[in-house]
Amino acid sequence: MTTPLIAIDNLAIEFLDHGEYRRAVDGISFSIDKGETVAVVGESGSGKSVTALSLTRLLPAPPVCRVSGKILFEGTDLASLPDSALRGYRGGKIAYIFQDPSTSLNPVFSVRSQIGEAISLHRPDITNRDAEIVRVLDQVGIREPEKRMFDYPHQLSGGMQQRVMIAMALACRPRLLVADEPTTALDVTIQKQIIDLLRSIKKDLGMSIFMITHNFGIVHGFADRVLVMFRGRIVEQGLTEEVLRNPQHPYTRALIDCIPKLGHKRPRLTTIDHAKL
Amino acid sequence: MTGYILRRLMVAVPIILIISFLVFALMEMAPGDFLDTARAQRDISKETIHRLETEYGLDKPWAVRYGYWIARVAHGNFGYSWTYKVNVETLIAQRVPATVGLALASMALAWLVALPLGVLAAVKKDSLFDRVAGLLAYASISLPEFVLALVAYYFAATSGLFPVGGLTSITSDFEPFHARVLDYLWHLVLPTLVLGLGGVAGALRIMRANFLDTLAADFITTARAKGLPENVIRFKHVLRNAINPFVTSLGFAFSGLLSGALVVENIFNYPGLGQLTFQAFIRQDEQLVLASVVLASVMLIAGNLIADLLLAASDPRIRLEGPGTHGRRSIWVAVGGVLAGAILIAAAMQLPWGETSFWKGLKTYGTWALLLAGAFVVWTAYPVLKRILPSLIRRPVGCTALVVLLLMYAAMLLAPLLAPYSANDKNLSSTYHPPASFVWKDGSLHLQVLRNADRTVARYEPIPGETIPVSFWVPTEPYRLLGFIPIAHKLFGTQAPHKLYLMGSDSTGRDVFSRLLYGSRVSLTLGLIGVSITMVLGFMIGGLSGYIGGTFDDLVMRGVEIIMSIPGLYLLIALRAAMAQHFESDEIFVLIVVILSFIGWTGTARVIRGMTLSLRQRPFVQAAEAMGQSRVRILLKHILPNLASYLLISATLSIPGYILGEATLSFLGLGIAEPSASWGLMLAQAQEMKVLMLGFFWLFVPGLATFLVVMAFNLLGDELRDIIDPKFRLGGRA
Repeated sequence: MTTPLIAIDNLAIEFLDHGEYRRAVDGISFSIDKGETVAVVGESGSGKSVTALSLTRLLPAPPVCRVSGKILFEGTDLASLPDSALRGYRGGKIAYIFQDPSTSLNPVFSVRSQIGEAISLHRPDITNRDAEIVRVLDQVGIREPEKRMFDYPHQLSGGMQQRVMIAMALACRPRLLVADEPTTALDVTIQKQIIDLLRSIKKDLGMSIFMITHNFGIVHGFADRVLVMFRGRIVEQGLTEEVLRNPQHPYTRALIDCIPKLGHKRPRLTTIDHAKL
Repeated sequence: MTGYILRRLMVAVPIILIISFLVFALMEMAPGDFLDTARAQRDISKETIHRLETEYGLDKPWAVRYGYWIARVAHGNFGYSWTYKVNVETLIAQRVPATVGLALASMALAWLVALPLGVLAAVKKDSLFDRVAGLLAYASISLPEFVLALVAYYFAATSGLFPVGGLTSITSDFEPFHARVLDYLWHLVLPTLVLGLGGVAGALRIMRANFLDTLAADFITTARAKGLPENVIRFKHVLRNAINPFVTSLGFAFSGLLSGALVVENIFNYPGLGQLTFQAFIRQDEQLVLASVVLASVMLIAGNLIADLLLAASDPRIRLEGPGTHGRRSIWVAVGGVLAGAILIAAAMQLPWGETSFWKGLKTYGTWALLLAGAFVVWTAYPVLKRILPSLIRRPVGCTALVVLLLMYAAMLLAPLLAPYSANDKNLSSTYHPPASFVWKDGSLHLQVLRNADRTVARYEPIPGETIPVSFWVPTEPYRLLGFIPIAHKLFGTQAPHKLYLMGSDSTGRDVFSRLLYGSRVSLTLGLIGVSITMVLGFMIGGLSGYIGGTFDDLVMRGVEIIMSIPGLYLLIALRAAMAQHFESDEIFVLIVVILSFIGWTGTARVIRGMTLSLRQRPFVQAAEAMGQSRVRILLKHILPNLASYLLISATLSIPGYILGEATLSFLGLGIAEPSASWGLMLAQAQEMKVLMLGFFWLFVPGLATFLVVMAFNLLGDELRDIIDPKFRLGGRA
């Protein structure tokens, strides 16, 4: 077995709340192989997003937040790396796409400036920055990238903004792309376009993707493996097909049951009854 | 861009017309005219007066004179100053550089000092630096400008490091150019510091809040996730966003500086526009007043325009739209408003505005109106207050502020008991008596008796061994405490003829402590009453405007903008000058309250309108509408409770404005008059050269009291805001 791209060992995250620490993530371990797509599924507050942010220490500094455990990226423990060294990983090796592109892009800088910033930071060898910006914008399916790169975020639609976010992430050729609910803030037709885009990028570039979602519908046919998180723990993990076909944990089953299916007549949408879990 | 600027300037024309009309009408309402002083002099013959009346046009009806004025202005001639006997343009051209220079210097000070400090405070949030900077900012916001100016003046006079007022030295004209520039700057330092300090404090707080807000934004996480170094994130990504609301405040800052300049110019004898206008108002030098007010309004409108252009340059999201079809309609609405206003004012001028009897009547009925307004505010605020009082008491700052205020109000109510003398108990043989010193003798507290050693400089020296006991619960003439408790004692005192001057005595030997207590009746109640009226007016007008919408809304909002376009203090003085000088103190009190509320309601109305607009769309309001409830009922029952917390915060934070407003007016001699007491009036005495040079520091005590009250209200308001909505930062959300 080859060494995984990233291996998380016994990660715990705690937040200070009214003078005492509360655990948001409770000692989880998992790994992602090179070229693999792993999805984390779970409801709001189950610890998915903070897990993703903790990979490159993007969470608030102590004492607000305490993180323990190991994050081995290609053999280096990111958790114990000094800030200056960690910055090389952020964006350069591990890039992020966030949930809401309308708030995740800085409103006062142009698309060109925001992507260019990432390129000059992590790929200083590139001399023709604009050409590279046009290339990545083209790659994420933005038409007329030569013109669009001078736009400001508010001049773009939600789907276009998310494409810019993806372009920004891809610009530095990361090894791992962390996508934190990249489709939640978009409407349904755009969601499909973005997922298709991610799928084709993954095929072209061969990077690993760590995808966070609460939607099993997206997981199917996109992720190789699935982790199910519930109340800060991983309650089930396995190949996507298997988990979907034969869920072991009652929470996973409940989660899968929540997906509305066409043709089924139900008086109400299924919800999860936490008392039974 | 050019088109946009042109459109904005076109809208400004009707606004300036209305302002000039308003000011003209106000001056016309004032009893008497420019020639009053001439008439009072016996050696000026009736014929001369008559000739002058014809020359100045004072024999013609006011509408005709205003028409003439407009016609002249249309030809580019702003008229002739009766006092200075020169063209108004010449006069103003001499004064503009001083005021604009002062305003720009103060603004530069605010930007250069407040911006970096605000950023530093935000970056080092909760550090010692942040706390100290926050406290100092609070302190300088709460300090009345004229008190600060007096202190600076005192400093200049005693230290000799800075010139005592003036624009340049007398010898400056004979110096080479670079020396003249240095001389000018040297004269500019203290006025700039005084005028700019409040701005620095305000800007620092805005900058800090914006910076912290932006620091929490999603795109900052994005920037971090890109691997940017923390300094690039702070000084590029955060700063460029955090500075935008700051740019917006620029326009307001400019108008504030214009008003503030008046006080500073007066104290420092700085030959600026403020001083000129102030004196022109007092002398009713009609054309000079009109021209200055127009110019000040133009500068204010231009300041706002520049701020908007800067904002558009700095924030790509802002598109310069200016008045579109909607705006064009507004112009017509505004022009209609001028006509309607003209008719209204013409009708109103038949009323005996300037007469004392009018204000007497207003006082009688007004008292009831004020009580009603107060009841309304209490009724609105009570549920909110009840909810948050427990958390307020648990916070150390909030609790302290509350206790300080409660103590001050208790002292105000118990003034007759606490004050050893009445407010007007003169003693010309012990003027400027220093604060009492005590000795412990024979097992009781004794007062050291002082002798007036040198009357000309009011030098006192202790008489060795001569002391008199301080007695408590001293019998006195019977009076009723709080109006109903019969009592015949004072809390403390000494046996006549020696007096106990706890905080010294003033220029006529009156006890500063007693006057402070009696004066608090004005200074402390005025804010509460004024704020009640403002809130009621603001809610009624803003709420109706937002709720009804359409042309009514347009008309009201243009009106609000017009009132807001007049530099505040000018409007205050114009209104005050319009009302004759021969008033009783209590009438002046009513007058000041009415005037301050008239200026103050606009800001509240604007915010309330915005909030009502958004509340109107909310399902519960639509449900009430669907059930067929009346508008008034919906406003009172469904919308008002949702605005209550905003109203409470806003009321607490605007009380200081009223207290400072009264103090400034009284200080300028337009407010409460002798022999009554108010803190601003007491401070006016501290302005005298004698007080400054001989160091009668105790006359600054009312300034300290004002500072404490204002600071307590500011802190209380901020604490309330923190409790009600931690996200509710400066400026509100509407």
